[in-house]
Amino acid sequence: MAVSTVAPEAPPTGRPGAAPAGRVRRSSGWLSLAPALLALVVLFVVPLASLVVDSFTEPETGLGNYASLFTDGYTVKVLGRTLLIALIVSVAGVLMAYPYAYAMTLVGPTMRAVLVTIVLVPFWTSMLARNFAWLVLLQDGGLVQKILTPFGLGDVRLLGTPLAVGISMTQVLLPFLVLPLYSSMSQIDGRLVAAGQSLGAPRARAFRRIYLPLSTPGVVAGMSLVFVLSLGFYVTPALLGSTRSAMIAQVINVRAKELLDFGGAGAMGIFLLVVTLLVLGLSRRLAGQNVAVAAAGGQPTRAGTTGGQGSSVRPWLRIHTTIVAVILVAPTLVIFPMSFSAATTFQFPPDEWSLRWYENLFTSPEWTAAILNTVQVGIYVAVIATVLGTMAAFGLARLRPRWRGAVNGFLLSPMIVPHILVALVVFSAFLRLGLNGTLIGIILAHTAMALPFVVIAVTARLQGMDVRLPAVAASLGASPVSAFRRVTLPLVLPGILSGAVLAFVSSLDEVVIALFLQAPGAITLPVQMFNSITVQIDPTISAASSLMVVLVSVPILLAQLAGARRSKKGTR
Amino acid sequence: MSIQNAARGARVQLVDLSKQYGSGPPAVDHIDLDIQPGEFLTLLGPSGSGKTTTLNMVVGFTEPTSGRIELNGKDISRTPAHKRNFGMVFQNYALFPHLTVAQNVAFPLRERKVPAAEMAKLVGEALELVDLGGMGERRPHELSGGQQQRVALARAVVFSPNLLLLDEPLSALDRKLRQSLQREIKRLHQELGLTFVFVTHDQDEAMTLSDRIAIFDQGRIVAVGTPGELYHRPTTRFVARFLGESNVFGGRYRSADVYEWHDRKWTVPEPGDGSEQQSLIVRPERMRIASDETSVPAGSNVAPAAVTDVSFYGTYFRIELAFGDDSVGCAVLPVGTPASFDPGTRVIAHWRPEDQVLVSE
Repeated sequence: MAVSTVAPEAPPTGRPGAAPAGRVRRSSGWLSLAPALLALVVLFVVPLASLVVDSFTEPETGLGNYASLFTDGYTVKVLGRTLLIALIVSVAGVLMAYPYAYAMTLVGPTMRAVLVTIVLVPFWTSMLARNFAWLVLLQDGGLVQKILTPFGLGDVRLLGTPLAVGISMTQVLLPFLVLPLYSSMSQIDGRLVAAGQSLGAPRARAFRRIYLPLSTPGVVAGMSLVFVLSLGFYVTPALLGSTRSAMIAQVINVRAKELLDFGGAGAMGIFLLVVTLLVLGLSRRLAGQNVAVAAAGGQPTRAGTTGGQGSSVRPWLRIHTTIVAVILVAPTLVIFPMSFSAATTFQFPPDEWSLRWYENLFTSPEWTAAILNTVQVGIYVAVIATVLGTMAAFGLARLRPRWRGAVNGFLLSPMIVPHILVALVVFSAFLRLGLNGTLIGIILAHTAMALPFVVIAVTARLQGMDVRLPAVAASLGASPVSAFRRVTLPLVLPGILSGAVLAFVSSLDEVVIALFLQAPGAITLPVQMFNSITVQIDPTISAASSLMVVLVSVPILLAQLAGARRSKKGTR
Repeated sequence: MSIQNAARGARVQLVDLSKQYGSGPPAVDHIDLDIQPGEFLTLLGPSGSGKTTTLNMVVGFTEPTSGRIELNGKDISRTPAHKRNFGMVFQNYALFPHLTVAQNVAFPLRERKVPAAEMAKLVGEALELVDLGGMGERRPHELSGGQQQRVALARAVVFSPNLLLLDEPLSALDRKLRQSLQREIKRLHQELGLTFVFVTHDQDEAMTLSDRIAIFDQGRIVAVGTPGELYHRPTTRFVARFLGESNVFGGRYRSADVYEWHDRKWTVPEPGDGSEQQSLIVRPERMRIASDETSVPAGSNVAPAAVTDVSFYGTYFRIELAFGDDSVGCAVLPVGTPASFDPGTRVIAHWRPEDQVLVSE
């Protein structure tokens, strides 16, 4: 879930459509795309197809599995609950994110940098760490209950309710709303509202009639993205909810892992996929932009240029923005003090301090093994996905435009398919191949998931490059190999590096697939963390969470520093 | 070795050269061109006329469909770009953004494995040549457009290429900068003695810089000649219109010394190609204006006209004319011409027969 925080900035030198450099061989495009396409087909398409088949044939041929979605009296309730929670999360998210993103366009550059960083903090905090933090905050006797006590709400139970699930999911998904919203708002000329006012509309109406419609594409893109991500959410409901108020992903998990009912689980997964595609298709039609890319990039176009907003941040907006900012960073702030607690419970704030959980993290065999596994998987994933993704991005650039869109969509598809479905698909396939419970299985599955990040990062860089430069190099005497080594590669390298970092981080933070594929010898750190909440109460998770924050944010910061140094050296 | 005396102009010949993309009309249609050693040759034409395709074939980015390119008599049509040893300057500078100015200029030398000391000397010399001494450590984005184009020039000549190709190198610059870089390019040409092939759609640029101009239209070369020849003795209406302004009269060439335009008969000292369907062309600065026919010098050809507009350009007046048959033209008169003409005045346009040219369609 750590998404592009090191968005490569495209240098403005590009002149796509200028004299195509030399002799571009179309076939070589397909050749360098082949490994990535093959990997996706083998890891993804074939297993998915076989799951679709299962859903119609297991245990008996027919539409039985799909019929029982709506007739067994239980699943339909779960589906309804899932859709409802997803809807509430996306609406609540927009209500929180819209003013925040709007405030981002109004403030000065320094404050904007602060607000951007605050949005990115959750990305640096592992998914499990954030959910763990909410668990701590919302538990019985937790901080939130204590705050509510003076209002006579002290005995309201939060943990285990859909409310807790909703709160946590909203916070977890908030950046996916803020970034597309900000990106679309920063392209609106703020003077338009002033123009509306000068034409006689009161400020509020000018805002409603001018700004709101112009920012709608961002709202639609962000909401639909959050909606589909919510549909497939597994970790949050599993940790903060209960089986009585289960969401569909939990049911899929039980069906597949405990009952080995791949037909039934498959039908649910396919249903989820269909809803996802419908929502994304609809939103794309409405918003006219590629939601998947908005999600992955989340690249705020540097707003500095829009300027001239000419309105100040109103007090109510200031308060709202502050509250949202606190919600965004709160979980991260909980984790660090927790990790130095001496208590054997998830008590917060801690009464006594110690380093015992760090000690345990680095000495107990299961935690050290998990750390090693995670790092090992992450490195393999980063290397494989970077090689495949970079080749694919170069291949894409050489395809004819009409092929490029379709192939690009296919390469990015792992991003929009609900994680729980990916996990299910991979689990069922690897079970047959005996790859279950091996690190290889996790590496392969994570590679498929990480591929889009590399493709996006490298493609952005390639598009920013002046397409004539390799030809220029040739005119100066450089052979094709030399032109690639001395010109193309150095220019694209920042994209490759940030792709590698994103691939590493996405693997590091991935829980759902790793949970499905876990086995005694193949437990990654997020899985160990998950189990330390669900299987036993082990506060080592707080130390692990802190470690994860460091593990994730350090490579990102390094990449950003490298990027900054590079652009100072003049990649623009 | 230094850049100046190492570079020697090469002779490049295009022989029956064609390029066709798909099944459309050919982008370049059987052209022949003999580029002389040390010559400054400009390929001039409207966009899409094939000049850039021709340039791309010469530099080796595009493979010809048929025909040959010869360098000093040797066929190089199939030689890849990086082995042709031609320098090229591009429209939008195309400097490598990840390299410094000096590294950009050193790029072709490193490809040619020039020893370090020699390389440093050549890079310094090349930068001096374009007045950018001391700028070597800058990054391209720290330079102005004009400076970037100078770097591109230095980079394209530092390795003593056989030929320097310039693809509309000045079109991205503003007017003032364009003029100073024109002078710079002209000076470089004189100092280096290299063969220059320059592509542009700007006729003034072509006239100022070139030894010879090849005019392109629809994939063909329709005229080759010195700027003076092409301006004063154009052979076709397209050439006349493309190079400078003209008053074009669409009459008939009747006999050895009569050109008929409506009810007027004009004296024709030269028959053009002798065919009937020729236009008669008079350049604006050769066009004279009189208030009535009695003040026209004897032997002149005359056409009645109405003044539609008069503009003052400091050193000259420009008078827009409408002739009887809906055709329009203009005359350029030096300031100090006694008579002044207001819009709406009926006048007599006249010129000496030797100042006119007959051109074919």
